[in-house]
Amino acid sequence: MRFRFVKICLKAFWLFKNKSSIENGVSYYPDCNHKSKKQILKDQLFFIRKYGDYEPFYFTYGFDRSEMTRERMTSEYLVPYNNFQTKINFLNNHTPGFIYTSRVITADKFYFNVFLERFGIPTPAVYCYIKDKQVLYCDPRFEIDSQKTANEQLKQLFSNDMDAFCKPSSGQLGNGAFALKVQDSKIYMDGELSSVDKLIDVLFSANYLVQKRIYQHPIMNTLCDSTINSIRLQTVMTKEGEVIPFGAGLRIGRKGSSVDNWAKGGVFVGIDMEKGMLMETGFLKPGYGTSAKEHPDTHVVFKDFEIPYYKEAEKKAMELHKRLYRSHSVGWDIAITEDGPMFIEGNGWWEISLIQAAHGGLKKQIEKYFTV
Amino acid sequence: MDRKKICDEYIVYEHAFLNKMFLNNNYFDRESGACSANCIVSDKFYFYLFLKGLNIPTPKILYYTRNGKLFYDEYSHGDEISTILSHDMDAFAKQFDGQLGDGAFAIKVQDSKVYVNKELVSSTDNLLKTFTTANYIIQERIIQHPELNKLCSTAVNTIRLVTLITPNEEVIAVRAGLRIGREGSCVDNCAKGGIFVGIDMNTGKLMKKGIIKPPHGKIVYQHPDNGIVFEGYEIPFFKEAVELAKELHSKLYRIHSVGWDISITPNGPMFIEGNSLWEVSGTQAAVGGLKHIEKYFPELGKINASPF
Repeated sequence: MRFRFVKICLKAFWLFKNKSSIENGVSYYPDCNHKSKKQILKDQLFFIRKYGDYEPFYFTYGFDRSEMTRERMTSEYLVPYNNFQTKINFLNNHTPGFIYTSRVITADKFYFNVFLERFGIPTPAVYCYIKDKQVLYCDPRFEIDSQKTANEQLKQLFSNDMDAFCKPSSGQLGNGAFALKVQDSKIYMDGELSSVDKLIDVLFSANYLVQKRIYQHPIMNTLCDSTINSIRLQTVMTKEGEVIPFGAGLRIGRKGSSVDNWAKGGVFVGIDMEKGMLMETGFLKPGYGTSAKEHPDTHVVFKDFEIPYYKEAEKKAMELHKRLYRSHSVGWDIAITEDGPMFIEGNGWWEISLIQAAHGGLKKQIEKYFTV
Repeated sequence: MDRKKICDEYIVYEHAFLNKMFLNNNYFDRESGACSANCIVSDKFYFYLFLKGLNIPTPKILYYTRNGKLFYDEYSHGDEISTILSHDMDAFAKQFDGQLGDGAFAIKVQDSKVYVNKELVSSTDNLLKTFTTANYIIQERIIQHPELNKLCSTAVNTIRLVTLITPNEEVIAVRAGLRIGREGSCVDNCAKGGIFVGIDMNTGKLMKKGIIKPPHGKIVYQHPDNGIVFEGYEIPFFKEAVELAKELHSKLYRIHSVGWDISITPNGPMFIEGNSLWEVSGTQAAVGGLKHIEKYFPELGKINASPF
C-alpha cells in the first residue's frame, strides 16, 4: 500500500516535470473540439491515481477530444499502455495451464522457421543460420560438408546463385538487415557489388539468418514498393482452447525506407476484419506526422483498399496459434505474396497502442481473455 | 565413504540440485533474452517436429489426441478420434504429459483387429475413451538393435545421456547409462523396476554395476532374467549417439542441460525424448559422484549475475 502511494507520487512528480510535453502533444484529430491543457493534465493525473501510471498514447487514441469522457476512456480502452503490456508479457511467460511456454518458438527466428515448415504454414525458407561464427544450420539441398570450417562452408554456400535476405537473429526494426544477391559468383549486398570475404565478415559480426527473399503481391507494391508492407494481426487463446483474432492492421513503409515499422516513420492503418479492407485513417508516429487518409508518398487512398488474401492470412494465423497452444497471445507479422500469405514472425510482446488507435477501444472485446 | 569423500565427489540433496535446473526455464541467451527452449524438449509433439525438421531420427508421431479431439495425424483425416483405429499400425501409445511410463501401452492394428499389449481387444470403446479422456501421443513402434534386444526383448532399452552447455557455449556430454527393462515389462523406467547400468564414455561399453531402484532395489552385475553380464557389453552406435546428442543440443542452444533418452535401432541412434528435469541419482549410484559438473550449475541467487 505504502509502495503504491510512493509510486503514484513519483509518477505525478514526473508528470509535472514533463508537463509541457504532456499538455502540448499534437492532436491526431485536428477537426474535433479539444480539451483544455488543464483538463489533459487532470486526465493523466486521474490515470495515475486510478491505475498507477499515465497514458503515453493519450493523443494517438484521441483522448484529447472533448467527447472522450473519463467514463468512455476507462470503459472502452485498455489503459494505461504499460500496465496492459505487462499483462501480455506475463501471460506469455506463464501461459495458463502450462509450465513451459512456447514463446521461444515465436521469439527465436530459427525455431520459428523450423516449426512453421513442419506445420505447413508458408514462411521464408532459411538457407543458413550462422551463430557464434559457426554454421549452425544449412539447408541440406546445398549439400554443404559440415566437417569443413565455417568459412569454407559459407564460401561453398555462396558459390550458388541466390536471391536472399540476411537479418540478425536478434534484430529489431530492420537493423543490420540487407538484401543479398549471388549471381555467377558475384556478390551483391543491398544491390552493391561486394566480395564473399566481406559478406562473411558481416555475417560473423552477429548471429545471422540467411533467408530466401520474398516479393510482395503487386497490389501491396502500389502502397509502397520499397518495403514489405506487412499485416499485423493478433490472436489470443481462450481458456477453452479457442483462438480469437483481433486488431488487424497494415504497416506501410515510406518511400526510400527499407522497413515498414511505425517507429521508423511507417504508417499504420487498421483493417476492417470483416471485409479485409483498409479503414479510413492511417497513423504516423509523432515527428513523422499524425494521421493521414492517404499514403503520404504514393497518395493511395486507404479507405476500402482491399488486402489480397486477408481472410486466408487470418485463417492461417488461427491454425498456427492452435498448434502453438502453449502461447497465450501472439502478434503476427504477415506478408502477402502473389501466392498468398507468408508468415514473417510472431511477437509474444505485441503492442496494444496502434491497434487501439486504429480500431478504437478494445477493452470490451478482449480484456476478458487477459485476466492475470 | 567418509563425509569428505561424499561431499567432494557427489551431488547430494537431489531436490536442491533439481531446483538448480531452474536454469532450464530461465536460460539467458546473451542476446535474445529469457525465452527458454524448454517447451521444445518437454512437449513431445514439439520435440518430434523439431527433430524431424532437422533430420535427426526420432519415432514418427502417427496421432496426437488433445482435449478429446484428434489434434494431429499423419494422414490428415479430420479431428474424430475414432479414425485412429482405421489404419494398420504397430505403435506405442503414451500419455502426453506422462512421466515414468505411466499409462503407456503397445497398440497394434492389423486387418481391422486391434491389439493392446499384444492382446486382442474385443470392443474398442474403452480404448477410444482412453484417448478421449487424456491427451495421448501414438508413435510408431521402435525396432531396437538385436544387441539391445538380447538384454531385454519386451522393452526398448534406452540410453540416458546428459549433455550441457558450458559458459563458453560448448556442448559437453556428461554421463551416460543404459536403462534395461525387466522381462514382461514394456517400459525400461527405473521406477518400474528397470535396471540402470553406467556406460563407459570412452569405450561405449557397459560398466560393471547395475542399480535397481527401491522397492525392488539392489545392485546386480548381470541381468536377473537372462543372466547377461553387464561389464564390457558393447552398445552399438554409442559414439554416434553422443555426437548426435551434442549436435542436437547445439541447435537447442536455449536450454542449459538435457537428459536424452536414446534408443539404438539397427540403423543407428534414435531420439525418444529429452528431459529438462533429469535425475542425478541413478547415475551417481551406478557410476559415482557427479560433483565435477556442479560448477556449471550456479546457485539460484546467482543466476541473474551468472556468466551465461
